[in-house]
Formats: sequence, structure tokens, C-alpha cells
Amino acid sequence: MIKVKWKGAVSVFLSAIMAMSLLAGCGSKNEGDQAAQASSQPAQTASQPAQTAEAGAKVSETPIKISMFLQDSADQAISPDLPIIKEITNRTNVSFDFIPGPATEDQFREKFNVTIASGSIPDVVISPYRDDMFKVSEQGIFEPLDESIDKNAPNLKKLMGENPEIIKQLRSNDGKNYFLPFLGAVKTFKVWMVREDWLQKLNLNKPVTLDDWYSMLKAFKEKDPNGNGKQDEIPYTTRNTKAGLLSFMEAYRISGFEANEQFFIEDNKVKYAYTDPRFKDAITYINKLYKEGLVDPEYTTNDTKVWLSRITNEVSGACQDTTARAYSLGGMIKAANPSSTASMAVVAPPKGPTGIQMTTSQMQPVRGFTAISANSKYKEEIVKLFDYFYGDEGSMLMNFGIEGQTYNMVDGKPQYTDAITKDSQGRSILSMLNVYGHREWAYKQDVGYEDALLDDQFVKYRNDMEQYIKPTIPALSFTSDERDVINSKYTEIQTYKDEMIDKFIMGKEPLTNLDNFMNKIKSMGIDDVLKVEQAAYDRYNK
Amino acid sequence: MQKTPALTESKGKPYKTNKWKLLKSNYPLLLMFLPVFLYYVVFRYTPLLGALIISVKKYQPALGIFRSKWAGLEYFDQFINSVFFWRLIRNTLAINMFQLVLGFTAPIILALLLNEVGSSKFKKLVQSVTYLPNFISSVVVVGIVIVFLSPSTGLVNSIIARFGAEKINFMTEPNYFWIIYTLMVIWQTTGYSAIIYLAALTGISPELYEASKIDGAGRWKQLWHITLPGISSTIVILLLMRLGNLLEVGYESIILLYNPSIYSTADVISTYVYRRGILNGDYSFASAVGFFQSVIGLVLIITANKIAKKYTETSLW
Amino acid sequence: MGKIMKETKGRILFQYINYTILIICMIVALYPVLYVLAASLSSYAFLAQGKVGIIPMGFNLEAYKRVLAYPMIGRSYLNTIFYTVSGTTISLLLSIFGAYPLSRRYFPGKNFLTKVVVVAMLFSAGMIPTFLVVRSLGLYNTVWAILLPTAISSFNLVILKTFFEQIPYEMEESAALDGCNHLQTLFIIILPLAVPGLVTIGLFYAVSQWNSYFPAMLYLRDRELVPIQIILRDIVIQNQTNDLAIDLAKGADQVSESIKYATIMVATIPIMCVYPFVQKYFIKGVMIGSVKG
Repeated sequence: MIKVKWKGAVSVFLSAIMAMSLLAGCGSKNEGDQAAQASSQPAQTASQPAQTAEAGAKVSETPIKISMFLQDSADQAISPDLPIIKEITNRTNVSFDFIPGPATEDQFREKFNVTIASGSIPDVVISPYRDDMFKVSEQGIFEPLDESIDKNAPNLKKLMGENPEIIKQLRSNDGKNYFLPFLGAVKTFKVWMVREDWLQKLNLNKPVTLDDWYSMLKAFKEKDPNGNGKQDEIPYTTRNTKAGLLSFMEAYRISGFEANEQFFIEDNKVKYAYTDPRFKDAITYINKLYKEGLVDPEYTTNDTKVWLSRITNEVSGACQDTTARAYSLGGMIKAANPSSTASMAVVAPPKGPTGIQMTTSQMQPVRGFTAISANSKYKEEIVKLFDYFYGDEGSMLMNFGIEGQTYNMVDGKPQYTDAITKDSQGRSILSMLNVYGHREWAYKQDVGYEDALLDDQFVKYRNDMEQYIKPTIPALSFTSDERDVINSKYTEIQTYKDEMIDKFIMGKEPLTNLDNFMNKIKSMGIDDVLKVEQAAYDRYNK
Repeated sequence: MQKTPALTESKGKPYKTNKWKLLKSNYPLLLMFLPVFLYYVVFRYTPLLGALIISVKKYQPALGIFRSKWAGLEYFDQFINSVFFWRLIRNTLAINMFQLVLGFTAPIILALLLNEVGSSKFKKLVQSVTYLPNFISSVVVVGIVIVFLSPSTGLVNSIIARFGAEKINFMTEPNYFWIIYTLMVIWQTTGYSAIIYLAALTGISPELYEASKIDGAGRWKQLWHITLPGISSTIVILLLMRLGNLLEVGYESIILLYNPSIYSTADVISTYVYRRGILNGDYSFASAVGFFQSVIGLVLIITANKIAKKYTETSLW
Repeated sequence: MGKIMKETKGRILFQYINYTILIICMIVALYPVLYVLAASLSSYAFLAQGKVGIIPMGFNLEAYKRVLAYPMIGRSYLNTIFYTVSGTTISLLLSIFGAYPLSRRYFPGKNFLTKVVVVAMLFSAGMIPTFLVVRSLGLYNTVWAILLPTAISSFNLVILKTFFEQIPYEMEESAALDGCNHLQTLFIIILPLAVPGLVTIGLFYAVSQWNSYFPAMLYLRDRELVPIQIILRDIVIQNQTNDLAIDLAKGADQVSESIKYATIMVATIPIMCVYPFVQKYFIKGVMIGSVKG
């Protein structure tokens, strides 16, 4: 019996190994390809020594090696052998020992925290998550950089001089700056879109005011614009749960949907959207839309998949989403349903009772933070290294990669090569840049990075709508005591608020209870939170 | 020949004799247990001590466990005095009660039904198939559930509509959440959990069945007098361990399944801690709540074990 | 089992009902698997409109091609097999070493040590303290960081202990009379009788090691060491759309959905296939002799 057992086990094991070696076959072939690719690239760079041997780029006479913790890209594991990294080493004399973090936010932040907790801090720590970095900055782990930037970073200093917001966003609440910023240029913001062909069919104009939106959605609902003879239209849909409906709040000048945007600035004061008197009118309007079936009754559970199916099945004809989605949506409908004649139009945000039209941009100018360990041997060199990426030459390298390989200059403008734009596996441009070694650390992003590939229509969308962007509350930094106040009160407030808002929208809680709702939030301590936010905002403006 | 104390001690009361002798004759077992003991000390209890300290400090990763400021019982206090405390406890307990009544019995029933199947090929097929959903990630399963229940496109609602009743938006009605969640978990795990019982069933001697047949016992009698007693100790042990987790519900599936409109029944301790933690990296709070849950779990398991010891022959210790 | 005796009418009726119930169970259990399979093989047009059920529509293998073309797939698959095989071996050995002494009535400190095991099941230390321990032992970025910290599951250990306890005591007594020492008793008498229990918890260990992701994410730095789950997550993330117009316009969305499902299939098919193979060890009546109770 024992013999039989072993035989069985061995044969299972062997067949597993065999199956795997087959799989390993395909995998390793690919790795081989990659290696071949990589090995052909240094040859190319070596053949252009004139371009790489910039005297100004060398940050150290002798080669140095720095350890670096950063969020990796899922497209390609970071390695010193990637072309762009190699190029950087060639130009600057700095080589890297990478400590990659996971590509998803939750997991990266966990790895970040354990790395910090372990006490052995790499020379360079890079994270896009502001709050984590600021919490750590005040604990003496990172080196303050104000003086060093003054002395060693002329390019960054110049940029900071041009835009005072930068230093404001970088300063910790002890008044010092511990970070080299990633300065973003691409703005993502939300725009409103409607089915233009439905408007024509129903003889409607593009909606301007909230009332126009109401009557348009009503018409979508009742007049069968998709022409299938059934009243199956769900006029307005979303993939962002209630945030997708609360976007109507912006017409009332209160923005309230992203975590940080529940607070907003008015007359230099920090205010909370859900206890603001204007919120009553806003929620009443949204409740009316829901009650009459004009917005997606399943908004609470919708995800991108459902959202897309509503639009591609031509059940929904209006939504609010990012500029990028607006641009691609037409193509997505056509890809799903080639016979469709759908066309989406981007319209200005609905005009509120006081004439306000606004949208918010999700992005702050400073989007990533690079810090230097207080114990690093190469503090000065590292500042010099990153300063190179704020300059013209280094910035080109970070935005477009290596000339001749990833981009060419056409009429004085960089244009990506086919290697980047026409990947055989259909990977995106961003993915391909990552494959070549691009990572988002401290540098200055160029708008050309996005423009290089976009057609006029998108640029028009963006430029038409940009005028409606209103500034949101800037990213603030809190003291540890202030954090305590927020931590202990805010989860409760948030939980209560989220639950009640859904109930108000769905009419499960009568709107007459709005006063009680606001009082309850006050009793849960929203004023203490506001006080803290105000203090941090005042420091920010100092 | 060395005489194992087993022979002399087989009637219970192992400790009354010479302790030293007992240790000496059992040293191979002690030696065997040593690596296990070390494992528990190094990988479980040492970190646990760290976690205990974290729960009474204002832990900041950058400062480390020892340099962080003391917080005392502040985080326990915050949790217990939260306006949502009782609601979280109630929801957690309710979901666990559903799991206990339905989720715990489902694999036993499946195993018993399989036990009655004559054809071993069919039996193996059913086993292999029912075991599969355990491998489909929660994201997918939750997605299927939501689509299934959707008022606009879901199967359940189209059946309801066919019978002329009003469609139900299940995911926004607090009343349905406990049962929806429970059924989903049963769907995912029943086949997998049944394996333990199937293994336990193999331990029952066929001779017992033969003997009872000769005595003229029917199937029901066999079930009550042979099959169930044969796996009863496994059932009791699993039940005891399940009771220790009465205050715990994993957040992974709930986070995907719930939405704020049904917080009143769907928000449980772990999801609440998750939301607070994700916003703020609040390790001390999470640690404190974790200890709170575990201590209650410990009390429950000790009590249940005492009861089990008194009324059955099976107990954890 | 046994010959067909006089089957009563009720018995036959029961069998019909039983088979019907079990067939329904199978259909219900098969549904999500077929759903994932169908989605992984369907084209964008049908997925986007939400029209795919359990039958692939617009059949294509593009998603699988993409997944299998990802670098490191082969290597990480081998790593996962290594972790699963060696991890399960270590876990089984340690669980036997833990469960056997605890299942002996005369084992000194039995009660206390059982409590040590059970309490560890109730209390979990959380990520940071465990990380600090692993790091200070020098296990960071080694395979041991994957194999050791989760080596024992108290739950599995207690189950195995229960299985050992059910082995009739007389078996052991006669072994002792034959002059077997503890180790001999364990390996010659006890373990062969506990095969179903060992297979059960072995399967549980293997499945959790196979699906394990978190320790590798925390403890491993070298790409050469990572298991398939890490790579598959990367593939899913890579194909998630970032809201950049340039990528959306290129149709980045159009494969992401099916890739998500293809990775699930690639990750789970091997471990799904393990169970049918080990089923044959669930033989009825492995134990001879009487049963307590």
C-alpha cells in the first residue's frame, strides 16, 4: 500500500514538473528575447558617446551607487539594465540598487510602512503618497533639503521661483522641506458628456443650466431616444458610485466627492461640504433626479463594467467622467457595436442657481515626493542627480526617453518612435516607456508628453473645459496631534455621512431630516476637524 | 524493553504519578514538539508581544515601537465609545450566527449526502466540482452576485417580475445583506470545507455498518448511531474553533459587496477598521481592536470548551 | 459498498432526491468557473455589453497569449511549485510533530501546549511586528521568509490532532507491547492510519501556499524569487486602464477585462487539478478495528 502511495505521489509530481517545464519553455524564450533586446540597446547608446558625455551631468567624479526605494511599474521590473536607467548611469556616474515596491496603492503603502519601520532606510525613498511621506518627514528619518537645494539644485530652484505653490506644497509643518517634487503637467479632470445624436433626435439643445439637465434627462427617459420601442433608458449613469451623482453639487459651488474635496476653501476659510446650507438644495435636486428614474438606480453598485455596458448598449446617454474617457468613449461604443451611430459631445458643467459653472482637477501640481535618508553618504550627489532631471536635457530623458530609440525630433518637437507607439502586444505608451526604464520620480513633466500623441479634438476638449476648473483645497500637512483629531473623529463622520447621503438620494430618509443630519455631524465633532484643517491651511499660506 | 507510561496511565489522571519519570519516558515526544514550540514562540508570540505594545502606544513606523509615545488604553476607548460600536458588534455577531447556523452545517450535509452515494465515480465527480468555487477570487464571485441580483439585468429580479411582483434592489435593502453574504460564502466554501468531514467519514469502520445491517437497522438508524457519532468529535472541534472567531468576519468580501446605503447591517468591525486604517495607516487602533476581538474570542472558546468537556467526550484541551 | 440487498422503495426515492440535489450543487459550483473561463475567451465587444454568460462569445485566445507572453511567467510558476511542494512538506512535518504529542493523553504539558496553539489561532500580530521578526532573523529576501512564518496553521494542527485522537488506542498499546518506541509507533502505526487526515490538511496547506501573495509582496525583493501570484497581479495591474487619453484611445481597455479572467484561470488550473488526484486516499475504512465512542 505504501509503495502504491509513493508511486502515485511521484507521478503527480513528475507530471506537474513536466507541465511546468512546458510553460517554462514559453516563458524563458521570452526572457531570452528581452535579454537580446536589452543587450542590443547598450550597443546603440555606446555608439553615441558624443551625446552622453555631458560634462555638466556628472554628479560625481568617481562612480557611486545609491539604494532607492520606489513604486515599481507592473509593466517591467525595475533593473539597472533597463536602457533609460543605463543612460542615466552613463551620464551621471550614479548607479542604482533598486528596492521596488508593489504597483498598487494599498500594497505599496504597506511595504512603505514596513520599510520605514525596519529602520534601515535606503538612500532615496520615493512615494507618490503625500500623507505617508509627510508623516515620516518630521521624525528625523529624512534629510532637510532647503540649503542643499539652494546650493546644488539650480534648475529646481529656478522652477520654485517661478511657481510659489511648489514650496508651499512641499513644506512640512516644522517649516522645512524634505522633498524633491515630481512636477506633473498632465491635468486630469472631469467633464460632462451627452449623446449628441439623441439631442438632435429629440430636438434638444445642449443643456446649460441644472433645469436644462433635468428636462433633457426627462426627455431621454420618456421619448425613447434609442428607438427600441421600450422605455428602458437609464438617462444618466456613472461608474463612481455616489460621487458620480454628487458631481451635480458643483453647480452649487460645493464640491464634495473625493476624499479630500469634502473640504473646500471659500474666503480663505476651510468649509465642509455636507454641513453647508447650499448642500440642502443640491441634495434636493439629486433626490429629484433619482426619484424620477433619471439617474442610474443601481449607482451604488455600479463599476466600470456596468457603466460601460449601459453606454455600449445605448441605454444611457449622459455621464460625467474624465477627459480621457470622454475622448475614447465614442471609439469604445463603436468597438462594441460597429453599427452604432452614437456620438458623444462634451458640454460645459451645469450652471447652478447663482450662475456658477465649475469642475475640479484631481491633480495637484506636486504629485510625487523624493526624499533622502538622513544617514545617506551621498546627500549632495543625490540632490545634484535629481536636479539634472529638472533641466532641459534631463527632462527630455525623463519625458521622452532616449533620442533615436524612444523618440525623434520632428520640427523641433519630440515624437515617440514606433517602438513606443506600435507595440506588437498592444501595450500602451506609458507601459512602453516603463519598459524602457522610465519611472515617476523627481522631475518635471512636459505637457508635450501627452500632446505628442493626441489629436486636435482631444486638445480642443481639454482646452475648452479647462476654464471651468476651480482650485480645490491644497494638500495640507498636519502635526501629529492634529492627525489624532482627524483619525479619531473622521472615520465616524465619514461612515455616518456616506450612509445618510445614499439614503437621502434614494429617498429612504426624508429630506426634512437634513437639519438633524447636519446637527448630528456637528455633534460628532466636524468643527474640531475643521479647526485642524484651518490651522493647517493657515500654515500653508504663511 | 522500555515500558511506556501509556500502559499504566491509560485510565486518565496522567499527572499524579512521578512527574520526573513521566518527563523522562516522554522525552522523544517533547523533543518532537520542540521545533513546533519554537515556531510558536518566534513567529507567533514574539510578534504578538510587539502588537500588544503597539496597541497601547501611538505607534509611528518612523519612530519604532519603543520610541513611539504611550497612548495607554486610548484606542480601546475610542473603539468602545464609538457611536457605531454596538452596531458593529451586532452586525458582526449576526453574520457569524448566520454562518454558524447555515454555513457551518452546509458542508456537513454535503458530506453526508456524498456518503450515501453508491457510485464512487459520481461521488468523486461531485467532490471535485463542488470544491472549485473556492479558487475563484472574491472579486469575481461578488461581481456575479451583484449582477445576479441587479434590478435592471439580474436573473432573480426578472423571475420576480415574471410573477408580477415588484422588483427588489437587493443591494440597497439592509434587510437582505446578512443572508446574501451568508449564501455567497456557502457557495464559495462548502465543497472545500466538506473535505474535512469526508476525511473523517473514512475513519468509520465498515464493519460497524455490516453489523448494524445484520441487526436490521435502517439507513436513518445508521446515520444517527454510526455515521454522526463517527464524525461528531470533528464537528465539535470545528465548532469550538469557529466559536473563537465569533467576533471576526473577514473584510475582503464585504468591502466588495457592501455599499454605504446598507452600512446599517453590512458594516462590521473589520470593515470599519479597514476604512480607518486605509485613510490613516492607523496601526495602533487596528491592533487595539484586534486584541479586543481576540480576547472576547478567547473567553468564548474557553467557555465553550468547558461546556463541550462536560457534555461530550470531545474538547480542545 | 456491499451488495444490493433488498432496497426499499423509500431508499430508491431517497437516492433520486440525493442525486438531484448533488447535481444541482455541481451546477451551482460550476457556474463561477465557467463564467471566468467564458469571460477569458470572449471578445471585447461582448464583454463590454455585458452579454457573456457561461459560454464564450467572440472566441479568442488573445488574453492567454498576453498573459503567457509576460516575462517571468515560467520562472515564477516554478517558484510557486517549489514553494508549494517544500512549504507543504515543512508544514505537514511540523504539524505532525505538533499534533502527535498533543494527541497523547500522557504527554506532559498537553493542556498548556494545546492552549499555546489555540491562542495563537485567535490572536494575530499583524503585519509590522511579524515583518520586524522576519527581518531581524535575517530571512528577508530569502525563500525561508515564504516558507517559515506561515509554516503552521493552528487550525490544521488541531484538526490533525483530532484525527490522531480518533485512532483506536489499542493499536498503540499493541505496538508498545511489540516493543515500538514513540517514533516507531508514529511512523509505522499512526501515520498510515491517518492518511485521510494528512491528505486533508496537506491539501489545505498546499492550497494556501499556492494562493499566497502577501508574504512574497512583503518579504521578497529579488524578482527571481517571486511566486506566480505576484506576477499575475502585475499583469492585471498593467492592463488596468490608467485614465490617460492616449492609452484609452489606443484601445487599452479592450483586452483588460478578459486578461483579468485569463490570469485567474492560469493561476488556479494547476491547483484545481490537485484534488481529484488526492481523492483516492479518502478510502473508506482505512482503520481497522473498533472505534471509540
